[in-house]
Amino acid sequence: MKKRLAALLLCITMAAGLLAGCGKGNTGSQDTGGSGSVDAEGKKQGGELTAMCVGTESDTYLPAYKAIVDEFNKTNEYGVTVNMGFYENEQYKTKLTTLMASNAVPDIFFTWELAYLEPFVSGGKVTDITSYLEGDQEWKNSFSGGTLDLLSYDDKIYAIPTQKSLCVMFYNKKIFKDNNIAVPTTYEDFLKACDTLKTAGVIPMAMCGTDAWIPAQFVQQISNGIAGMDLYNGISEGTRKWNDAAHVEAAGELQKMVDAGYFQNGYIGMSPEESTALFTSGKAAMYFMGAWDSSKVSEALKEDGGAFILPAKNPEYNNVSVGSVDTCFAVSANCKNKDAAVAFLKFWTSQVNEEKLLYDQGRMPAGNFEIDSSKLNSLFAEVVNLSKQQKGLTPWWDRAFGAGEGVEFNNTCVAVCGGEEPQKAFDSLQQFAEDNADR
Amino acid sequence: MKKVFGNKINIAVFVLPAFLLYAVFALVPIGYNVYLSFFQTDMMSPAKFVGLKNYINLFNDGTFTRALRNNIFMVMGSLIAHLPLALLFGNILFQKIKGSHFFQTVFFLPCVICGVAVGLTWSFVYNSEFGLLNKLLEIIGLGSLKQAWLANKNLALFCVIIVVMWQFVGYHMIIQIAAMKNIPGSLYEAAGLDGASKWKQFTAITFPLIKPILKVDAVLIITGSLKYYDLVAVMTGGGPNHATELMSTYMFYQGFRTLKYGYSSAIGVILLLLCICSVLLSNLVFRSEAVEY
Repeated sequence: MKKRLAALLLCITMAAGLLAGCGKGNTGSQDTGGSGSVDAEGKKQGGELTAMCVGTESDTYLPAYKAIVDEFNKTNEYGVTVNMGFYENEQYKTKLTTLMASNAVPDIFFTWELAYLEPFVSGGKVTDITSYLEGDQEWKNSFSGGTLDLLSYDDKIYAIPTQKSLCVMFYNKKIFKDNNIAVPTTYEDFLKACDTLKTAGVIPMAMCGTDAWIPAQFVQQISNGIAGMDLYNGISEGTRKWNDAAHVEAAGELQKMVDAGYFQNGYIGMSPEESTALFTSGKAAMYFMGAWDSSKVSEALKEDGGAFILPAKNPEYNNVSVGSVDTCFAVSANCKNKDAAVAFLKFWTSQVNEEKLLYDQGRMPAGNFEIDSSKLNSLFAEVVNLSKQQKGLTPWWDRAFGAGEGVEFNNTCVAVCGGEEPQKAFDSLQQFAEDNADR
Repeated sequence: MKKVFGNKINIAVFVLPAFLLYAVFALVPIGYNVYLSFFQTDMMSPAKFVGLKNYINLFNDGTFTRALRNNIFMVMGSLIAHLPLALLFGNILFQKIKGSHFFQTVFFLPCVICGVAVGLTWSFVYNSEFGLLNKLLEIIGLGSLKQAWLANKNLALFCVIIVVMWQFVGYHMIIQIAAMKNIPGSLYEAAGLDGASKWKQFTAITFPLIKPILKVDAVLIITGSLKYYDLVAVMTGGGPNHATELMSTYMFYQGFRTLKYGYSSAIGVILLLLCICSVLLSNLVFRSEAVEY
């Protein structure tokens, strides 16, 4: 009897387990269907729009982003509530690709430009928002020239940028002054400055080797200064190869700097946080990074924070920098209330919000409105000014080519830091690019 | 009770729930994975049938062959640590020495901790600036050996393998001790009376009698280290420049980063085949008949 009871109990537990498994599936699909079913009832009732963005609690801009969402939720005419979730960068990439493959993408999602969004567009997962932009010329024209091209595929626009960004060399004005160094205007001056700092016992540059894109963007900047926009365009169009002489030369320059000890000891094993801290705590004199770190730098160094563009090795290519649009948003194809979703994008890129992000967070707007530099702190003003001087911007390789060749370019640069011969490293990158085309 | 289980239908009914779960979460995905591996697909655009091309490409892919080689190193490292070493520790603790329970717990502890935490802890140990290892080297006067361990492409893999050895040695030791405890004490008593040395007792009694367990253990070790993922993902992410890439991390990279799901499925199939092969192989090596005490 007892045994029978036990068997019965086990049986029930098993069945319950099975039901629980199915049950979860059900609630899951209800969740995703939720926004749809409510939206279907029309605008009166509003509904919920799900949104996903990159960001962690340690990012200084996060409260500002949340404030924009809250403001939209209070004021929008559609009566919808946008529910935005924030995820760490690597997590986000995994989550988004998984959701894309299983057709469960949130209504509005953060994306990078060029190669990152492309497979989703060609898979029909993203809403073409060209008609919305055409319908509101004022909105369309508020974006700086060319920025929307980075998010267009077959002449159709699929996402809007909310920011611009470029790589600058942040520097510590106090350290420069103490060592009698002026902001370098030629590449030779720059190397000389590094040398002076090194002899004075200061770390010339803070660098991180564990995140491969950080040394890679530096190599890209040097190679821009060697061959200009031509190099980027050539590789993008397939007329130049990855093992182009300019790449090899730029990587060789990086290796020379490594050998000369211009980066901190042990940089190759350091996390980005550690290397950033070296600069913000005043131990390193320079720090090459995207302008998105301005708020971090100005918070730590106050008036001592400055920025300049790395002088080109070949002076005719001065002011060709690594840079692109940033923090782009797209609307998914299965979003049920596209009008409201686009209204949210429009709200985010409105001048009021872009100004708020600029003046408070130093985030450079994608829009081309007049900037009131009196409202900017000295570093933000310098960065905005530098951005205006640029003759050309080349998007990061890992955005232009995505995880294939782009990420391999990053890895190649790290290999060069680790002592591999530049020519050999870039030859194998070229080989990879040829092999990868057919996978 | 006999009536209930004598009926085949009843048996089927009882097995069904578990089998369904297993089928949904294991069998079907495996089948689908094999199917996917014959396509070029990003799971969004229409898939393109390419036959065996993914597999041919794989063996021309330098990174994949490196990952395969790394996996083989991983298997060898784990086998060394988890069979002979674990057996040695197990045998020492099996003798009734003082505090043997305490040491069993200590050795077992690391494998209770989640892999991510272990990975983070050890990346601190290996850290080039404030790491324990570099500090130790400095103290004993070997400061010249100090370096960024996980960023050195020649050393990073071995650094990771050492952590894997450390993490699971206790787990396999416990399995082996449990097997030893099953051996009747009378055998040792008799051997002792006949004047057999401890070593003789080990080779003539302990080892042959725990052989079936060792077989299971070897299968666990080999398949475990073939599909290893978490420590590498946390400690190096497969870097620097793919130097520590394992098949599983490369599979993740090709699937979720470059969206080449067909290609990444092919890696998964190879992984599956290798696991099956290793199971067959260890069955062959450790062939032994059932023991009755």
